[in-house]
Amino acid sequence: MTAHIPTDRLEREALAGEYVLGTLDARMARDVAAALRSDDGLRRSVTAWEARLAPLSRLALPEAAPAGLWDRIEAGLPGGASVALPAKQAWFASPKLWRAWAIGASLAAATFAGIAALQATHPTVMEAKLPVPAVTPLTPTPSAVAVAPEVPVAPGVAPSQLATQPTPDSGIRSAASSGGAAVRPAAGDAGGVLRPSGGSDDAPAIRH
Amino acid sequence: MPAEPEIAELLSRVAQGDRNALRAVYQRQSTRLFGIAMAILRDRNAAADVLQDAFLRVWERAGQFDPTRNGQYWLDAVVRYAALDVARTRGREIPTDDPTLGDRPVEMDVLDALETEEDNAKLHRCLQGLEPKNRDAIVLGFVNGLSHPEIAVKLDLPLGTVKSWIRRGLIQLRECMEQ
Repeated sequence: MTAHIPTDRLEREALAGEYVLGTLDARMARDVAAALRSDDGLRRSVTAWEARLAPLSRLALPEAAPAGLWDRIEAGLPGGASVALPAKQAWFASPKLWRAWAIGASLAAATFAGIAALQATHPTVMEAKLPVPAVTPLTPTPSAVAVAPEVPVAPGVAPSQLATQPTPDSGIRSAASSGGAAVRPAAGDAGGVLRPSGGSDDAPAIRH
Repeated sequence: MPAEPEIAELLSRVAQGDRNALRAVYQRQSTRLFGIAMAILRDRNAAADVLQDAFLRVWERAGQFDPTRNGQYWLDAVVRYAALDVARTRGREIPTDDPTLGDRPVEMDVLDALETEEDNAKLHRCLQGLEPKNRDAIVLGFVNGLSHPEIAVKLDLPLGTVKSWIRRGLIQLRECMEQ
């Protein structure tokens, strides 16, 4: 399964970089994802690459999601859309409440099962306490979850460098409109695409 | 502007099952995250599916997010990997003949979006130090989710050349950023 993982240090670094870059084909990506389960060094390399390259995501041109997508997302959550109780009914008398509780309880179980299942398919994402998730989308690595150590930030990438500062959407947009390859024009229902408060939530998550 | 909860704080609340917090994450980040998925999939329906899938993952795994880390990068990565997953399985269905895609080199003024942030200045400087085609290939891969063969077509280079250029570019980038 990990036959393709090189032993040469530079080769491994490059492979980890390609994995994070996303340029590997499905089979090779799967091999790397599988190797991450047991190969701590490779996992550290992947984590470091994620930290290095993460800021590139802001080169994608922001574009408004389709109207109604939130409703779809909420309906797709365990338990579906949130249920409002009838206003006049005492809370303890509400059949809906008890039903919701029952559903919630079974969903809690289902969620744990779901998490386990998801981890089976998307192994290291979010398990380790990483600067950014080492997401390995293709292959099961449940074991990596339990053992994933706290991986230090890559040498040369100080925590402060990982902190995001707000990038006003307008900044991205203007960069985008300057005609690079990495961006595309917003389309469709993109009116009012960019929220003026776009940057406010992007305050540094890391403060040391 | 009044102080608003940071993404990391919202994610902590999501981890406790707070749907309003998840909705707040969506309201603040969906435009950016949808853009990330669109850059890779170039198909609004597919990107919407990916965003839905990504938010389900966020809902289920927010407890595994370390709140001292960068919440936005975490969200970006969840969406990007989910989109790459779909891109790999859909393969050639994704149009890469989009005229806005990769036909022009990645100009440094596009990358200037990175330079405005102190924490990104190093990445910017190191990308600047790469050969233009190495740089283009890396950005096309990361941002647009192109595979080696797709990048080869875009940059009109043999596949083997693209592979070795990307590798060389990555190694150089790493060396530069670790200085």
